[in-house]
Amino acid sequence: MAFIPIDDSEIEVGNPVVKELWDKTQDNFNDHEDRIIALESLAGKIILHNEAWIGVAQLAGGIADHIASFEAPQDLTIVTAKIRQFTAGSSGITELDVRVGNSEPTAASIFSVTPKLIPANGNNAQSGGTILNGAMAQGQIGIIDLSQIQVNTGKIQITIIGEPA
Amino acid sequence: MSYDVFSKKQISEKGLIAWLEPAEWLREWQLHSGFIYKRVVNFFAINLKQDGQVLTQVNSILNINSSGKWYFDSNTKTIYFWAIGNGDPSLSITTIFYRIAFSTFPYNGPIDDNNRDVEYLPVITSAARFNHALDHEDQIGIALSSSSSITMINDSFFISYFDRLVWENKRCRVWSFSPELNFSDKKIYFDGRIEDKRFTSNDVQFLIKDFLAVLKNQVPLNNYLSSDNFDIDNSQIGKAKRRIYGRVSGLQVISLNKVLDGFLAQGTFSGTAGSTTITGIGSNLLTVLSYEDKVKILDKEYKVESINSNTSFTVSEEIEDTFSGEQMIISPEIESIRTGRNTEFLISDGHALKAATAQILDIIQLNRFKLDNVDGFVSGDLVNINGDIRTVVSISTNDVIILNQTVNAPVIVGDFITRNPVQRVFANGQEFTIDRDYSVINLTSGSKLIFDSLAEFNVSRPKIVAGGTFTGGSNIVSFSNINTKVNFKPRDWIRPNNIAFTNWAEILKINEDTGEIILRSNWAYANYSGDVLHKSISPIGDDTIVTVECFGKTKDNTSTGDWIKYGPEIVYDLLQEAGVDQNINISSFNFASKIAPHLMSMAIPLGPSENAPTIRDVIELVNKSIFGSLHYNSDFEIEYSVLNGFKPNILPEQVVTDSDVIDWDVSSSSKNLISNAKVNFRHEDAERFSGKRAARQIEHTSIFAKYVVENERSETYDFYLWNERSAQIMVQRKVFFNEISQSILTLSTDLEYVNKAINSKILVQFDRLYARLGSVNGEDRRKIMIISGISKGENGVELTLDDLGNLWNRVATITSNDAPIFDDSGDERILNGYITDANGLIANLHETSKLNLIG
Repeated sequence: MAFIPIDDSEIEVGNPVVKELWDKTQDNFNDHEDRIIALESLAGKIILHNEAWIGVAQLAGGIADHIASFEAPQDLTIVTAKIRQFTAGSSGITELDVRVGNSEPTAASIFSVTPKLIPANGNNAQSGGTILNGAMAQGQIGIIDLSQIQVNTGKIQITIIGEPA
Repeated sequence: MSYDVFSKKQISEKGLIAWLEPAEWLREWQLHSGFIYKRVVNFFAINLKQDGQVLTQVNSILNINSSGKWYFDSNTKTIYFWAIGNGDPSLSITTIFYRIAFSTFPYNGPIDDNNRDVEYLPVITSAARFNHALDHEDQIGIALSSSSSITMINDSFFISYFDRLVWENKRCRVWSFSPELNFSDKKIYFDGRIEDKRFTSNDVQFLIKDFLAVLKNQVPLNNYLSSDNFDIDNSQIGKAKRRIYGRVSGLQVISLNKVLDGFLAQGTFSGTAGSTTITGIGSNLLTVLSYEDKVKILDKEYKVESINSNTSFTVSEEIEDTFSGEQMIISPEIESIRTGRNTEFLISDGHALKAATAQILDIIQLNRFKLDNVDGFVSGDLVNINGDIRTVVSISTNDVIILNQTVNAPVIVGDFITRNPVQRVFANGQEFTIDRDYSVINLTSGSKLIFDSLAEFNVSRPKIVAGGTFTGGSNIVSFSNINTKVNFKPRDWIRPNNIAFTNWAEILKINEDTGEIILRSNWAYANYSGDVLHKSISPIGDDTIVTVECFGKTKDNTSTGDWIKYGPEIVYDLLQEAGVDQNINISSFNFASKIAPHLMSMAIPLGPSENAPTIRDVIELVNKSIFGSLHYNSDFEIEYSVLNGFKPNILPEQVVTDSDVIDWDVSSSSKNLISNAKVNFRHEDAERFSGKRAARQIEHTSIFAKYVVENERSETYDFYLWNERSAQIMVQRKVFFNEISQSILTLSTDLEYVNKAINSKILVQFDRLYARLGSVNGEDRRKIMIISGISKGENGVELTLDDLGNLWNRVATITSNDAPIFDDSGDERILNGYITDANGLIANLHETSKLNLIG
């Protein structure tokens, strides 16, 4: 439905506050809202990290702290942060954490529940956890940790996506 | 002739007719045939009950084909009845309800809707005036229980039946009527229940109260009882369990398994005289017992020195007498949910909490879904999609919901998204996370919060402490440069601050002498020296205030039923529960909800340890919050109204003029004038940090009242609303109603106005009335006013009208599309709203100032 213009003559001083005027106002607001939703549905995604990691099991200690990082190009909110195991390991847990902040010492986890995968989840399983606070200001850094890694893990995919704030 | 025409006649036979419905216990029945018994009665029968159970009336003997059915032959005044249980009705308490008709004049007329005629007993001499009024001083419509009485000649009828029939608590209806009218044109005068009766040598009088008298009863909430077998404070026994309407926050929930004087330990215990070791079978001492806890076995108390394993612990003094297989009571030094106590809290009783559910119609993106409805969802809510918990960021008018995070679980069109009934949980200033820290049992019988045993641990933020040493296989952790007795306590958790160590260890005790930390179990991992992460828990004990933010009751008490959100819905729910199901104008409640769609926030009783309030008290709180009123309409139906600025569509012949009234006078009241109002809303039992009662507040000041009326008075009100926007609207209206004085007009009329009811709007025009605000040259004396009180008698009506501070003159209204343009002499000015210039004037006319307001 297109926007319905309200003519100046309809809102002249002394005119009655007629229902038709309010109907037009209501219709225009609804149309406006529909258009905003349509635009939002096309909301640009900001790909912060979307890479496959091969051979992570080879890293020392079964953990990988700060395997990668990124900087927020604009104010954004992380809406997706997950791991996928293309090939499940033989034992243990693979756990992802993403910390954000102005520097590494002050970076805090975005999760209330971190994504975790175990061998029993099977090949191609993915986990996204629960994000508590994914907000990042422009210039802040995000640090990717693998807090735990399954024994004999194959290739994994780490995906972190944001939306403009 | 219609009643309206009749009421205007100067000379006419105006009178009353009444139906009284007394009861009688019928004891002697005769067998008619089969299981059907019969009995002759003296009056018209309308209802039959067996042992209090209402039975089914049928329209012929042939239709009495199963037990519980009865038929009344009005010609022979015989009742035919097949009793429940197939036996003789004489063996049960079989109660018959009659309808006996009375009048002020000889009359033969209908006794029921089937127009069966009876001879009315012409013994009515008078009926007292029926008075019904709103509490207009507060501008709040509060239904005042009304009463009346009917007096009859004491003739042979009452001599015979005054005592032999049961009149008390039975229905009585009185109509204004005349033999000149059709029976269908009678007008209800009063409808209520007989409360008292009086008998003199000359007359008999029945005092009648309306159905709203039941509002004086308490809301039927269940109380906490000893027989519930909850472990709660004695002071809570006898207090009401709570009901929730709308949405509430800071609701203090009651622990059902407190420690109190101690709790029973799992397992049985044995000890030998002279030893300091007590052993258990089936016990879990490493979890529930702590250093310095007190235990009691066979009335002997011991102090815990150390815990050796799940089945063995040491006390500080020797055992005097040997015991075996005995129970043990633990009084913990630190009350924590790790002991298994204070884990279960009652949120609501008698109803589930609303869990809004919507079906996914379209997956726009994995954090954007189009739903079949968004009723009940608001920004900030926690929702569940196939096990993923997400937060609602925003909701659009076309039912699209946007979440803070993409969904991980597979989701397809047709899946459901559910809003959790409990949105937030707080204790000790900390917020707990659903599914991780707590779960909710949400049943029709009530709802509970259940804490996970690691909840205290989960919410504690870790801090770094330097210089700790863990040794594999040992339960001792030492620190080099820190006073462990000050910084740590039992029930805290520690682990190495190294990503290679992910497991935490719970502290059992701090060694008083060495300062070493003793863990509850041996450290099962590699040795470590370095920084340590420490979680200092805030334990949840008997005195901890736990609060929740949650949704309230639905119409059918289930979690999926229609959510009771708005004030009129709450009032309707209370009325239904009170059994006031006769003559309720349901459409008025629905309309009131439409024009007052303000989400309510109310738990009853208002506090966690209070008695149940009366139904009337709760309705008053609702009415005050939304300017609502509960009252009878002209047909004696119970109706709900919300004060509004709608102007009535009054035809010229409907204006009340001098010729329509017998007498009138106007008084003005300024005692409630204010210039500033503060409204407290979203009340909380306990604010999450202070633990004290709290509410949000919004205020509004009238510049007109402050500078023109020169009134500096400010008042504070408690409204039970959730949204700030709703509170803002209400506080502005409160000030608007009270910034100038009200005019109260009382007038006496004949029966022409017997059809009027509370909250009806009337346009009055009296030659000697003062000119209306906004009238040009002070000539227009018409005013729209609202009926705030009505007193009906046999021959006339007295009305009390209120202009609520010139409300209808000052508020703009939406007009029909064919309304004319403003004319400074036109009649339409009193009924229509107009667009003003930036100074609030039309055509620069001073008289148009402060009119056409939108609020």
